[in-house]
Amino acid sequence: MDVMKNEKIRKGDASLGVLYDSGKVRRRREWRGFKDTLYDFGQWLKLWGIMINVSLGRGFFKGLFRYRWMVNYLAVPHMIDKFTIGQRDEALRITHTAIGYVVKDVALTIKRCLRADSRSGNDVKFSDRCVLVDENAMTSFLMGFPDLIALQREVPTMFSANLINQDSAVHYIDVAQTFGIPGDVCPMPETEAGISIEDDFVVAGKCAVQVNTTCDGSMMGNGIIAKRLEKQYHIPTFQMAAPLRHRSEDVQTYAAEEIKAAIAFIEEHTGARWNWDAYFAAAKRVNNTTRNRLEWLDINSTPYPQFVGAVFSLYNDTNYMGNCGRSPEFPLIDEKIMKLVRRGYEKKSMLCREYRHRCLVWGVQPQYVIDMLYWMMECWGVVPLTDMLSMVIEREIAEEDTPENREQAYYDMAYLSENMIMRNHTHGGYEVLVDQLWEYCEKMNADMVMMWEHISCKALTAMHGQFEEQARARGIRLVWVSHDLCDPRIYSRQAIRDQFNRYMRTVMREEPVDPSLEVLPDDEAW
Amino acid sequence: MIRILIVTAVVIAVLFALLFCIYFFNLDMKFIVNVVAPLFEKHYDNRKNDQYV
Repeated sequence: MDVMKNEKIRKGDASLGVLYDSGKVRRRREWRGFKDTLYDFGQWLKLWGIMINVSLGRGFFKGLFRYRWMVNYLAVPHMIDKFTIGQRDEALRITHTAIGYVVKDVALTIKRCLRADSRSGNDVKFSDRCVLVDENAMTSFLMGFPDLIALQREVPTMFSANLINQDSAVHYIDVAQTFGIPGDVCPMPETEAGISIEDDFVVAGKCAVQVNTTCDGSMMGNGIIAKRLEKQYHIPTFQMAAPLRHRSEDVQTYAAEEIKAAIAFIEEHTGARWNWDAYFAAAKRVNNTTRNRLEWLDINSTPYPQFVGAVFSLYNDTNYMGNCGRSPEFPLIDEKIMKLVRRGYEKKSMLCREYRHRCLVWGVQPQYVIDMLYWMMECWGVVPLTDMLSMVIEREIAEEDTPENREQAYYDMAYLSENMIMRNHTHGGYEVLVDQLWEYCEKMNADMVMMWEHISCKALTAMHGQFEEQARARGIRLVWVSHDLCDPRIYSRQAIRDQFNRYMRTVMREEPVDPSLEVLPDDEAW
Repeated sequence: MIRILIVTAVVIAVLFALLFCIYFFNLDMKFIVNVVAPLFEKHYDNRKNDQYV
């Protein structure tokens, strides 16, 4: 593609490498010019407001002293600094609006976890309204239970703790391996298994629903977790198995039956009854989310993409999986983001100093832990248009309450579940993993693919050769970047970046846009 | 009345300057990761958890 230069002169820091030293956090915050720095300062104050509000919740201090993962949350602003590097104008505001709401949502989850936890808040009545749900579950089967709470206790314990501190999982991985779990499985479910072995999950909920998403490693972890839940804490656990070949017509009835069985299980154990009004109201909100996300992707297909990066993915993740139409607040945030995206597009705002390549990010990604996607833009002018985890639900579901749609609803909930984040591309054969990638490349006018190669993920390794062969045939630049997800001891941040640097220098023969970012001393940073 | 307004304005200005310094020099995060977190980590390391598979 032709290089596009940003005509607008960037205010504030020009070389972003000055923000890094060998400490655990940034040397200082970025100077973005008066207006944008003041905006960022305001968001920082707001963030501390959210954090103080969480600390006032029932059981917070007991939880802080009881659970190792809790201390990470004191450093949430550091995560925001990672995700806003180099941003100005609309891009800065879009990121803050989206990640601000993700933080609020996770803060609410922490508050609820500690309130319901028998060791901290010990609010038994509240705990009885909670259903424990996997971090990797689409919570569609709770869309018709307005009085129940989907408690995704793995989100604050494992997933978002790792967004803040890259070392947050290390202790639990070691615990799991001490008990004989091999070191070459995915460190994400291994961490979850380690947390359960260490007894560091909150103990709450009337019952639990586990899913077979996203992979075999996840199922391994679930077995260990379910055993402790059922045998020690007497929390009955339902296993919901979504079909792997989710594009085949002949598995859909089975998938819908699984949803029905999960709903019956929840009704039996909580005493709550399914509410169709609540379901269809949630379905309308899910459709609203889908329409908005597709419009953002359409805009990202143009020369002026607006909403990109790890936050794009994180926002979709939270909106679809954790929320799944149940919260009336998300459509309002969607609306705010949409206004900013449209404004940025109309103004032809650019996200960084120059665009050299339009890139699709594919594979199992660790980009939440490091600021890789923003770094790619700033250091090399490579724009990450979208990523595999954001390419989820593609069609709208039935939203009118009719007798036919009540039956269709089970199929729709199954569809949402089968097409959850990551799973819809890592399961279902090469059509969804390989073929669809090229379709998206064409649609989004991408000339480059950054392939995350998660060395412990067995699901994608088998396809390596197909990706290489087909990318070559299509003339698409394919950059392989290996990593080991949340275990930074295997691939450090610089080891990850070096793979990209090497490709850009030796294959593309390019020089960095900002050379101060090529090598950073942040391997020990949170 | 004017004196109250002046005092309020000065207090707000000082508070703003103080918070802005904490923000800009990342003092909040430096304090948490270098002082608070190590203390908690020591505490967690000294706890005995009921490890079980």
